This record gives sequence, C-alpha cells and structure tokens, in this order.
Amino acid sequence: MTGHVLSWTTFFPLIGMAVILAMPRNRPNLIKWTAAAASAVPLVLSVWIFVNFDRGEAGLQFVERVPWIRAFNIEYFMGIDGLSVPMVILTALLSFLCMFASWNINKMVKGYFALFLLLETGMMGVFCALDFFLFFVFWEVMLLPMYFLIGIWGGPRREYAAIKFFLYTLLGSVLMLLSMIALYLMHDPHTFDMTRLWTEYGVYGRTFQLIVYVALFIGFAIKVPVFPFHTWLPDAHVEAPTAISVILAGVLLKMGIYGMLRISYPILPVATVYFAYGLAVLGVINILYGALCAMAQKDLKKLVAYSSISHMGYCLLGMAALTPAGMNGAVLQMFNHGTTTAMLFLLVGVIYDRAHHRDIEGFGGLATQMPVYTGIVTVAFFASLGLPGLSGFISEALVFLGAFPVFQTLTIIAVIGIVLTAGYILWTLQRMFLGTLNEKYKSLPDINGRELFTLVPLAIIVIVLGVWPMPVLDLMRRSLGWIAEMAQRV
Amino acid sequence: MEGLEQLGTYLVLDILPSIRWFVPEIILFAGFTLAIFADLTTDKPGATRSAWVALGSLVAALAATIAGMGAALPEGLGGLSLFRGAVVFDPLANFFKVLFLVATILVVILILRSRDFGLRKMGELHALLLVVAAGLCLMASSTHLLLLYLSLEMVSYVSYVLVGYVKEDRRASEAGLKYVLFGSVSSGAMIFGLSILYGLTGEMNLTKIGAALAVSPGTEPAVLVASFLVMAGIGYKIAAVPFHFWCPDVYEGAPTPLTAFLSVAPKAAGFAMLARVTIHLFGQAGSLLAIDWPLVMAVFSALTMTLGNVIAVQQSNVKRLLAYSSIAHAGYLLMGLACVDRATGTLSERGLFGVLFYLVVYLFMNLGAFAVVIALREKVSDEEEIDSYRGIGPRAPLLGVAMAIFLFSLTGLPPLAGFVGKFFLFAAVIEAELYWLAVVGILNSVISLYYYARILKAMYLERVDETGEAPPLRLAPSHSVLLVVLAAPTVLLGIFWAPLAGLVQRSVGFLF
Repeated sequence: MTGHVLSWTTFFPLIGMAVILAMPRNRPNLIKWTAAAASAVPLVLSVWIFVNFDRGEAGLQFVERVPWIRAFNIEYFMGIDGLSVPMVILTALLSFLCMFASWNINKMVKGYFALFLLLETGMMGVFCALDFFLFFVFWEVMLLPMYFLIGIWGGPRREYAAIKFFLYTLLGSVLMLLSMIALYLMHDPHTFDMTRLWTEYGVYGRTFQLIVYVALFIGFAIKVPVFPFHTWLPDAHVEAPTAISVILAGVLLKMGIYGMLRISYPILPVATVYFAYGLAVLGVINILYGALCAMAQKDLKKLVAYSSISHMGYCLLGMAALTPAGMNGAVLQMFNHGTTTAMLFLLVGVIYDRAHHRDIEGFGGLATQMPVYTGIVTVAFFASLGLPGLSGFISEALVFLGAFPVFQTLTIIAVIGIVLTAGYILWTLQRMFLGTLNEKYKSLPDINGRELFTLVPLAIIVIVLGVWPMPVLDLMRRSLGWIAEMAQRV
Repeated sequence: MEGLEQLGTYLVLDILPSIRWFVPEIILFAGFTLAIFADLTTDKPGATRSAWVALGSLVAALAATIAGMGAALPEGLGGLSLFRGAVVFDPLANFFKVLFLVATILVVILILRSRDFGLRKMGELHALLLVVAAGLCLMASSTHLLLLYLSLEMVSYVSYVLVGYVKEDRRASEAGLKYVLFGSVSSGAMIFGLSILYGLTGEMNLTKIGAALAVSPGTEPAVLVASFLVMAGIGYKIAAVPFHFWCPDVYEGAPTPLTAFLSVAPKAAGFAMLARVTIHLFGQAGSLLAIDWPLVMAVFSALTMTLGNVIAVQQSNVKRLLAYSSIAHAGYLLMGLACVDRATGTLSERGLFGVLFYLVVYLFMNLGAFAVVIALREKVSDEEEIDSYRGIGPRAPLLGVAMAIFLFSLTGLPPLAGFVGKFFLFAAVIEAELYWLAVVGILNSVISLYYYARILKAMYLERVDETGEAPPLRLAPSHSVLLVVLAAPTVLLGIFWAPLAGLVQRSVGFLF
C-alpha cells in the first residue's frame, strides 16, 4: 500500500462512492458511516505521508508513474512535494470533518455522500497530479459534483448560484485547456509531463509565455477568486450547504494559488517576473476590497465569504514577491485560511441550524446563552483577524515580511487590510455575542457533541500553528525555495 | 484487373472483380427486399418481423465491412477504386461504414422501443432504413461526381419519407414537407456546382478534377462559385449555417428515433463527403491556394457553432434544443476541416483525425440523449418540454445519471468522451494556428453548458412538489440496457481511448 500511497489517498473515496451507490436508499445512517469511513482512510494516509515525508528534499516524493495513453505521451503521473503536502493534508482533514458536518442532510442522502466522495477524489487528484492532462481531468471532475451539491442541497437561490459557479469555473478551465494544448504542442517532443515542462521552459518564447500566462491566470484567478473574477463566490458560498461552503472556501479556493505555483511559475518564468507587480496589485485590491465588502454585509455567511476574498489577497501578495518569506507566508496562509475559514463556515452552520437565519443584527448577547459556542467563535474570529498567538498572524506576518522589500508602497497599503479585518470582525463579535440577549433565543441550545467534534480539531491546529508553525513550514520550505528559484531563472 | 492509374495510391478495378469488395452494400440491398417480403407475410399490427430482418442484415453488413477492413491490400496501396473509379474501398470509407451501420443498428433498436409509431405497419420503415444505410455507405466512398450526387439524393429522398412516416401526425407531415423543400433547393445548387466542375475540367473523378484544376490557372473564381454550391448540398446534410433552416423543424416534428438517426448518421456522411471533396479537390499540393478555403471553412465553423449554441439557449423543447445543439456540434466538427498542414498546404492529418474521433464519440452521446428523450416520452408526457422533466432525476436514477453523462459529454467535460473529442479538435486548431477559432470554440463550449445544464437542472434541481417523495419511474429492462450500452462507451472512451485513436489513425493515416 505504501508504494501507491497517493493513488490510495486519491481513489479510496471513489471506492467508498461505489459502495454507497450499491446500498439501499432507506438506510441513511449506514450510508453516512460508510462515507465517514471512506474519508477517514485518506486522512490516515495523509498523516502517514506527513510523518514519512522527507523534509530535507525539495523534489518530488511518493512518485507513481504509469503510461496512460502512450500515443499522446499522457501518463498517470502522481507525486507530491512540499507545496502539495499541506494541501493534501488539508483536503483529507476537511473532507473527513465535513462528513460529520453533513450529518443532518436528510434529502437524497445517498446522492449527497456519493457526490461528496467523488469531489474528494477530484480535489486530491488535483494536488497530486504531475501530468498536466491528468491535472486537468481532476480539475474538471470536481466541477460536476459541486454543481449538484450546491444545486440540490443548497439554499433558496441554489439554482442560480450553482449554474453561475459552474459557468464561471468552466470559462476558466477552457482557457486552461487551450493553454495546456499550446504548451503541449510547442514542446518538442510533445509532453504533458510537468517536470519536463519545468526544466525545459526555454522552448517557449517570450510572447508565447506572456499569452499563455494570461490565459492560465484567468483560469486560476476565477478559482481564487481574484478581483474582478470574484462575483460567483458570494453566491456560491452563501447558497451552498454548510459542509460544501467549507470545502469551497477551505480547499477549492486554494487550487487557484496552487495552480499558479505549480504550473505558471516554473513553466513560464519570463511571464511570472513580468507580471509579478500586477499580481501584487491585484492581491492588494483583493485584501482591501474583500475586507470592505465584508464590513458591509448583514448576512454572517456572506461576511465570511467576502473575508475569504480578502484573505486570499495575502497569498497573492506573498507569492508575487518571489522571496522565500513571501512564498512561505503565502502557502502557510493557504493552509491557515483553510482551517480558520472552515471553522467559520461550520460555526455559521451551527447558528443557522438553530436560529434558521444568519442576519447579524438579529442576534445579540449570545455569549450568555451559548458560552462554548462563543468561545470557539472567538478563537476562529481572532485567528482570522491575525491575532498573535493564533495561526493567521504568522502567515500574514511572513507575507508582509516577504513583500515589503519588493513592493514597499503596496505592502504599506495592504496593511490597512489588517485594520479593516479587525474592524469587521470585532464589530460582528460585538453585535452578535455582546449586549442584551434577544428574547427569541432564550432557549437556544449550546453547541452539541457532533459539532464540537468537527470544530475542536481545527481549533487545536489553529492554536498550535499560531505558537509553533514549524511543522508546516518545515514541510514546504525546501520546495518553495526551489519554485522561487525556478520562477526567477530569466 | 487494370494497372495503377493516375489516382494516387488507388488501384482501379474492373466491374466484376469489384463485386468482392462491395459485399456490405449488396447485403443491405438484399435485406431491403427481404424486409418488405417479411412484412407482407403477416397482418398482425405491430409485428416486429421486419425489424429482425433489418437488424440481421445490418449486423451481417457490419461483419462483412469489418472482415473487409482486415483484408490485406498490396503493399503501398491506400485502397481500391471499384467499378472503374466510381467508388473507393479504403480505410476512410470503411471507418464510416462501420459508424453508419452501428448507428443504424442502434436506431432500429430505438424504434423497437419507441411509442412514436403506434401499431402501424413497420415493414416499409425498416426496409427504407436499410436503403439509407446503403446510401450513407456510398456517400462515404464515392469519388465520382455522379455517384456523389446520386448517393446524397438516395439518402435525402428516403429521409423525407422517414420524417413524414407517421402521416396522421401533422407536425411530422409538416416537417417532411419542409425537409423536401429545403432539400431540393440545396441539391439543385449542388448539382449546378458539380456541373461547373465538370465543365471546367471535363473530368468526373474528384482526384482527376483536382489534378486538372491545379494546372489550369485563372479558374479560381469559377471554382470558388462551384465550391460554394457544392458546400450548399453538403452543408444541408450536416446542417451547417446558413443551410440549417430545415433542421429544428424537422428534428422537432420527426418521430424521435428518426430525429436521433438524422442527427448522427447523415451528418457523419456529410462530413465524410466534405472531407473527401476537400482532400481530393484542394488536396493537390500547391493547387488553388489563391482561394483561402481553410479560412472559408473556419468562418462556416464559427458561424455554425455560435448560431447553434446561441439559439439553443432560448429553446424550451428538448428535441428542438438538441436540434440546435447538433447544429453547434457540426460547427465544432467543421473546425477540424479548417485545419491545414502548413508545410504541405493540404488538410491537416490531425484535423481529419479529430473529426473522425469526434464523430464516434458524438454517435454515442447524441444517440444517448435522444434515447433518454424516447424513454421519457413513454413515461412522462407526449410533449418534450424541459419543464415536463422536472424532478425526474431522483425518480429514475439510472436514466438521470445516464442523461447527466450524455449532456456533460456533449458539453465536453472530462472524464467523458466528449472532452477527449474536443481536445483533439482544439489541438488541431491550435496546431494550425487558428487561435481565434479556438477561442470562439471554447466560448461556445461555455455557452453550451448553460443549456445542457438547464435540462439537468429541471431533472435534479427542481421538484414538482418539495415535500413528498414522488413514486419511482420504472424503465423497461430493454431500455435500461440500451442506456447502459450507450453510456458505457461515453465514459470509457473518456478514460481510455487508445484503441479508438488507433483505429482512427489507421483510417486517416494512408491519406497523408
């Protein structure tokens, strides 16, 4: 099993899906437990990967390659480096926890969990694939379950949100498809092997690089989402069921950044350096625009959704700097945002299940009624605003540290984002949890055991990484250094 | 047997030796006669005797074609030119024959399962389908102007009858009449074009015409006019804009299994013919480069897909929607024929490869989508409105999943076969440096997602009543099997397509 650990991690959920499809539809609990078990295996495997990953090595590990379609040089080529490992762990962890966050789904249970497991396979595959064609297939495989998961189990405007998400992402991925074909055809001999595309980037001329970079960027930017491609996000995140919002924000948004670091940076170094400043500007716009929009929201879930846009801006700024600190900060921020925003969406789900609305103004004084809930919300909120001692602080600090020498003015402007974030988060905390308790919610029960089970592991990670981020930084330092080097070969 | 002639790598055969290579068509004509007699022997309404005769002869013809593909030709020979240069026997023709025969077999099965025909006598219908199949085979293999025209007409005339087969249905009769009117105008234009070509060169064989035109400068304007006129005839068969007007009405009005047939087989035959005309007429190195025919083809392609997709978005009837979608797919396919190998100035191998590959994939996914429509007509309502599909997904899981597979494959999403097909077409377009066409193509793919997803939205996202669980729909076992038979290749060819790619490569490789 250890020889094919990535294949097992990726495809075990698919086996679970097949098992679920064969089950009778009137046994919802059996289906739920099967789904949980099917997603527990990748989690265990990813812990194994975490333990056995050689941190001193910048290159690829756990590599598996088998020719897939020989005539076109397409391979089943899987492998991970320090950039992918944190993402694989994040995906496995969030998928597992989300199975439990989905426990109160009772409409078409079989379909929901089957699609969820298919989604997990797609996500894992994206982070493990090293053949561009394979990468693209996994990338698109995620779309289909996502459409149905939002569209069938979502909120009132789910149909609109689902198709909007689908169309936007497809537009991005078709541009990626064209870029992929162009990279393939312009390389002699034709290959989709990313490792070869990285090292033999010299075959691509300057103009070609610039055009392909832009096409790829639009594809990735829609996923991140980078302003002005972000408009699908508030709709999709708000309408999706809780667990799916967690996956969307926790994993899917990271794929845009991941794709840029994995594909655009090493393959198109000329364009990467050329567009670095523009990327940083977009990052700052994301930080500020996202924060301002979040401040204006009345709906708690929408606030969290916009805060994601803002937080992904830090990743863009850090990676645009191309310095070791900036790159490490960006990827650490990806991981940290994954855990904190997952907590936030889960917490929104908790309150929505009880009060059946998410209107911030409609609450007040919840701290006395739901003390445990309030405590966890506070941890998540403070991690989100970057309070020292919690994980968000480290990654944001690294981003600023890395970006400042390169883009001084931009970094100074970006720091305003921290203030804005503190503003909307503290204001929300005050409106919802302090003050007098709304009479309606006198009998609101506090958070229950199942919900705690989904939240506590994340809270522990947030606190531990806030004090001692080295476990994650150690994983990725070498590989990110290599990517930064690759991107500056010109 | 005569010696090698000026026909490229074709060996010209006299009439009697040719018959050996003409077995599939002969089987089809024999089956035609037999099907009529089979029907005369029974008075029982709804008898299926003729269907079995039809199936039997189609399968026999298929076996004969496959056997013929295996026959070894002399070294260095692309194919045989039968009946002194009227029809060719080459890998390209054989590939299409297999495609047509498989399509016709599937359609005969669909007809068996369809309610469109009630209890009327089906003998003529099955007999006529065999004639169309034979006509399609001829379309894919003729290189002679007269036969080109006659085979096209053979398919057209029979199609008119098939569309109007249910005389009591006013929609069907109207569709049949429209089909005749448009068809006769187009074929009139086509024969005019063919006569110009003949007049310019004094030759009837495509290859000889191409060779003659290559050495007669100053004929470009006439050739341009002739090409447009020929394109009108072929464009009508493949429903390319601006020769598509008949398509939505006919597709909507015709009995659904025949709509499915029309959307796949004659379209594929049109592409076979177009490919042959392009290769032979414009394929001579350096000939007629004064006419930028790739650009003309690219413009046709862009117009066809854009118009098809944009109008499909506005449809509320599933059959009409699929009609416009099939116009759009003709546009995607035309992309492949717009690709030129810049080294030689001829049609690019990758482009033709993409077209053939896509046609196979398209056969399964499009017939699949229509099979779902037929199944639902039996179960839900006589109107094929999108709204009547509401909430079907959860009630009929197999059918719903199958429809999702077909529609996502038509959109071109991996890991389904439609994606691989599009991938090859786009690869050809990019290699030919038609970047603008590639961009138009991908934008169209995005538009198409919108309307395909509308059907799925109705099936899964919308509920007739939110509370109660609607009773499950039970499909006939044969129908479930048919859906699986069509869905399986749509999935498998998206994951492992090397064998099909190999077959396609062998079918086009000899030309380049």
